[in-house]
Amino acid sequence: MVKKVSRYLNKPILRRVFVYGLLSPGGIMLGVITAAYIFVIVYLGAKGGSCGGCDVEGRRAILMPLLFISQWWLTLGLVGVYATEIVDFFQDDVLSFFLSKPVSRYSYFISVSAGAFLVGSVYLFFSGLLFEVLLLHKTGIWFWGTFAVVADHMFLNGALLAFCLFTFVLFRNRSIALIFPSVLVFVPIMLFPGYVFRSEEMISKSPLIISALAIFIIIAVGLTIQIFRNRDIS
Amino acid sequence: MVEPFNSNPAISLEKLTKVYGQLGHLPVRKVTALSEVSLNVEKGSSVVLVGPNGAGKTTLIKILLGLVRPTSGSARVCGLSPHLPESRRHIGYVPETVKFPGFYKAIDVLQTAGELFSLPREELGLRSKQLLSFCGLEGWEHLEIRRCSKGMLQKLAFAQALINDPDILLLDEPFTGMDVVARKKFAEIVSGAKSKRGRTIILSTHILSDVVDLCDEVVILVAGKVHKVLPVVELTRSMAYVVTISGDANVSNEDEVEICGRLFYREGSVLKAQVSGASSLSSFMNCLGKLNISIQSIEPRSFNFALLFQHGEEGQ
Repeated sequence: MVKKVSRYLNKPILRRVFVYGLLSPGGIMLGVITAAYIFVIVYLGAKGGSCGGCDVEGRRAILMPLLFISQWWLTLGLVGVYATEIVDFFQDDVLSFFLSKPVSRYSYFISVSAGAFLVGSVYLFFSGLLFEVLLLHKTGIWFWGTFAVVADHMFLNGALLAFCLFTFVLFRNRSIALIFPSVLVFVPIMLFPGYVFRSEEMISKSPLIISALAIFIIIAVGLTIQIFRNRDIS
Repeated sequence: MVEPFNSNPAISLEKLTKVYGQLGHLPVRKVTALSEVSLNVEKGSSVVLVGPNGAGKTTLIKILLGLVRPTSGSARVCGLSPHLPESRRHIGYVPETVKFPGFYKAIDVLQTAGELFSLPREELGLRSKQLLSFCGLEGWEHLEIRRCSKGMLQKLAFAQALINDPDILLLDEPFTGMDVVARKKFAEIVSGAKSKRGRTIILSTHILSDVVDLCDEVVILVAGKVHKVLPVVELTRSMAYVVTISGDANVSNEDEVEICGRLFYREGSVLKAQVSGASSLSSFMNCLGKLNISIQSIEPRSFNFALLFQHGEEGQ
């Protein structure tokens, strides 16, 4: 399976998209936001930790809203990067450049998506994941394993990417690709109190969320490839 | 498996039809872009596709690149289906609207194109430099795409199309948006690229006067159908030219004067007259020579499509 997918992976495209995603204005902006949040989180976390009189609940009250703000901003930021920078790679004129070379459509789609996914993973890893582990450590609510946290973030990122590309390939409109996934799907997910505040109850449901997101990604990617494969590039 | 380039015609089209907006049996508005187009282009020939907007020129080129799927009929590029990525190893393509990822630099475009053709790193570096120089972009390799002018982008598009030293060059309206000077310069570059032995050039345009020296044959497309295929020489016979002579030839200083049976009109310090057809031009030049009137310039005019189509009908 891995061999089959890697056969379709075009390394020059993957590398270009990854570097483009990181160094493009949207990517740099997201990097700055991420760095600022990491700083604030670490700073406040340290401050909370040195507060001898604070109990675990008190720390949680300070840090939990930050988790919400951080993830919400990063999610929107990622949508921004995908929609304004990565989605460029799916515009007809740019497609004409790449697909007039000996590259198949499957290979192109998989490589651009993988590159974009890597960009998102870098930011999510250094911000959301780092923060979450720090937060869980500070608050004493340990997730049932680092693996679950990684999977959660990866699938959230993947679902976001898949949905962005799906809406862009379907509607060929940058604004829809930006607004639709974030406002209609991810903001409600983020606002969902159980998810945002990571109650013990929701932590126990985490595998269910991961499975649901995985199924969503598979369907969205499959549909997107089908639409992309069959459409004319005008 | 790529078959040897020599064993097949460069391009072969058979009853090629493309209908846009066809979604199964759904009642959507359909537009027929190409209708049963059959055409063979031999290797080494230069063909210009001419036709008004909506004639199907771009669709035809995009089908050859596998960007657009034909509704029916077949297309072959060096004997291969355009659907196969391998067929594009033979092709260099210059699109009508040039757009690369905005954050790219000029050199990145060439590097990316070369990497997609799996060119070795050393060869790619060398060829990128040569092409930038060939297309007049030397010194601009690190300029960001979003800061490039239209002319620079067009030259860059041409440079990246040559990165794989293609057997077939597809140029879709390459002169769009260029001024006269830029068009001439670009035509010179295309002419230079044509010098490779056996290279096939297919160029679409509606400014025929710019490409008469570049192409051997003209394919006239009207409403998605091949209206006529003609040698360029045949068309130039009926082409209109503007002959410019010095204003001193008009001793009476009038705005209009008749010389050698042609009416010249004054434009600043020069006199200009229009002549239709290569044979008329030749006899007119002889007449001016006998009168010791020196010609400053002879310029072909933008081609009159009505005349072109009329010519096609007459020829049928």
